[in-house]
Amino acid sequence: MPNDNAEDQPGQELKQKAKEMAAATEEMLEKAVAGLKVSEPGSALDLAENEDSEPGDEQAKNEASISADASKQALLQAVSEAMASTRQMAKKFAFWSTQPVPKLDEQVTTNECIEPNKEVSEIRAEPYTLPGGFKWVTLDLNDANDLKELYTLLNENYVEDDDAMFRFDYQPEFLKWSLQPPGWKRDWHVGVRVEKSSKLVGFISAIPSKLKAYDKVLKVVDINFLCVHKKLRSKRVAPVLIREITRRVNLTGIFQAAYTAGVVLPTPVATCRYWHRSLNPKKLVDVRFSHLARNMTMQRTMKLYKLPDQPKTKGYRRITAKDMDKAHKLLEDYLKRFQLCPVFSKEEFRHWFTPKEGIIDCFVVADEKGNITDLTSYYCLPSSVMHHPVHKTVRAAYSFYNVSTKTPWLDLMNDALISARNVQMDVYNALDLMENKKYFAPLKFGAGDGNLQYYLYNWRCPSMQPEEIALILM
Amino acid sequence: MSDSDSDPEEELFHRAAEHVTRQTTVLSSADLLAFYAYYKQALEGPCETPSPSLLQPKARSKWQAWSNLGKMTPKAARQAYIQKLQMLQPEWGSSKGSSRSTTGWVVHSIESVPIEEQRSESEKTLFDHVKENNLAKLRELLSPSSLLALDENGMALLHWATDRNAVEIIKFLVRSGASVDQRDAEQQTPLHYAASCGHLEALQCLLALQANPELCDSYGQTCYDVAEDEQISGVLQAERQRLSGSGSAS
Repeated sequence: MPNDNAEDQPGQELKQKAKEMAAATEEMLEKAVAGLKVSEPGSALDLAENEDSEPGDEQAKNEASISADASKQALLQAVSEAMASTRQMAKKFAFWSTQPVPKLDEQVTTNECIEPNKEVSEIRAEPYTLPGGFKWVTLDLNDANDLKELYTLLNENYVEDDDAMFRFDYQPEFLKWSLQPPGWKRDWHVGVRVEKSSKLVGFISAIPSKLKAYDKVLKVVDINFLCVHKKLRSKRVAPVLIREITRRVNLTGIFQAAYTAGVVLPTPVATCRYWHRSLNPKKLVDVRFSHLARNMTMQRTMKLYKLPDQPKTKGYRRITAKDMDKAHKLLEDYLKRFQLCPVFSKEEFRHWFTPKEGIIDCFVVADEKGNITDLTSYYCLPSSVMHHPVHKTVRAAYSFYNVSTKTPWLDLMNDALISARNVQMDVYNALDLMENKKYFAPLKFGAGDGNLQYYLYNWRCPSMQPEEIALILM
Repeated sequence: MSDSDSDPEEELFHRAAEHVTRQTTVLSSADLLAFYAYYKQALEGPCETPSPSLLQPKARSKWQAWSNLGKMTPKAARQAYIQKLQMLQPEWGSSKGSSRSTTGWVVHSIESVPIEEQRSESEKTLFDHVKENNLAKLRELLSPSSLLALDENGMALLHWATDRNAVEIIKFLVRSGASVDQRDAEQQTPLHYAASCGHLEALQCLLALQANPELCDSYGQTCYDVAEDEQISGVLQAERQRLSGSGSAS
């Protein structure tokens, strides 16, 4: 982080701008409301301000009779949401303008750090200041209580949209696996608790990793699981969490980071998109994860997505401990062709690719001589289904790293789909990075509705196409 | 990011445009062309560039679409853009639409909604009402002749009701005179649909309405043959035993 003094000069300026903007939008919104002659209170302004609304408000809202017609309502709602998002953006960017990240409109032609590395003595020694009433803690994921609390915080708050139909349900064992790879540090499992009640209300994590960006290999951390409790969203805790994890990471001599987010911040190195392959189409339609087109029958849909009972490729099998070094070499050679990819050590490879039931699975194709020619892997991340009478969870497999040298992509990935289906996964998800696009259409993947932005911290390099990216963060 | 002093409608237009760029895989090329034209008109005003040559059909059709808008004002073009999107994807701006993830750190993607022309209530057919599980509308509009009609998929209303596991509609259609063993173009009965879709509720409903589980479709398969899972097979087996039991008793 550049300065101890949190919001410094450029930050101040932007902050002021953001304030003006928020005031202006508020005013505009009021005008818009007046112009549309919404006669009763209740709907429009509440929509803009409903961050802290209680369940009871909902009813009051429904009871208010609204005279404006439906299309005006829809327009108004869209406008107010646009305003809310603009305000949020302004606040977010006020923070990001203080950070060593490229500007959104910057023309980048180099591949280099933005700020030089610092001496330990130049780095702030004490933690950043939290809003009153909160304190820093370091979580111990080997402690069942800490782990359970982190699980609960993420489960209830990680997806910020309160109306979301689905929420990630990272399992405790999954969290341990993803946050304790070789070289992990407890100091990087950063929590925020309420001083009085000790309730966990914020979290951010870092894990060490090596990353190749174009022609340079960097020591980085992967930042993940930034989460702030719903009730604290207005208190601007996220920037403090980011500053604090940066400080703790900097103290170990690491000055670059990789992270992904749904939101566009300064400045994505790439924009990827999720694609989805139905394995249990009936359930997915039932929970409204997917949708039948008007003229599509469930009967045909189920035929369309039907898969063979068992994988077809000769020599396709689950990876074993004996395969690890060969498989590691296979992946290492393969990843070199991409512009952004991890550089796994043998130990890291073993950690990330050793099958663990319900967390990570990995398969290889071995030829007669025992050579490993292909590899496919996915991690398991269920989502809670909100408000459904029957289904409580969608079991999702997420494509991890895949390598095809002998087995054609379609055969390899079709077998991966079968493997996932055979452990009762409902859907197989994959980003449009690496060579994944090659098999999406023939294997009946459908485009998802959200983008995933890839970011590097304190690193400036030309942006990349999804096909140039080979980095998966959970 | 938009200017702080842009008006709300412009803001909405930019959000709509951003949304449309993420929908290029699902929108039809005709719709995309229309969006392109409105977008150019909104940002650059009337088309004044010369027409591209005949050898560039793609560029030419884009130019044509833009130039067809004549002297439409940028404001009108922005409105037309938003309205068109609103018509094609009424949910685009809502929290359930595709734009919901743009302010959050965490993205939870689901499959994009297939884009279809929205039909107004008055344009909807009985088939639409069955697909939407709208029993009230069906009650209002159903005529005896419509029970027999097959649609362009070769399916009758009862097949669609079964395909959607709409038990109340199945009951209503049969009570209204639909044959519970009605055949589709492939000779499938409603039971074939219930069994192959794994719709337990519809299956039990049809059996209670005395559907015949022994009928074959044009591939020679009974509903036992196409049963989706063991639960369905189990229910059908029990029914077969019951039928043969009562057969020998009589």
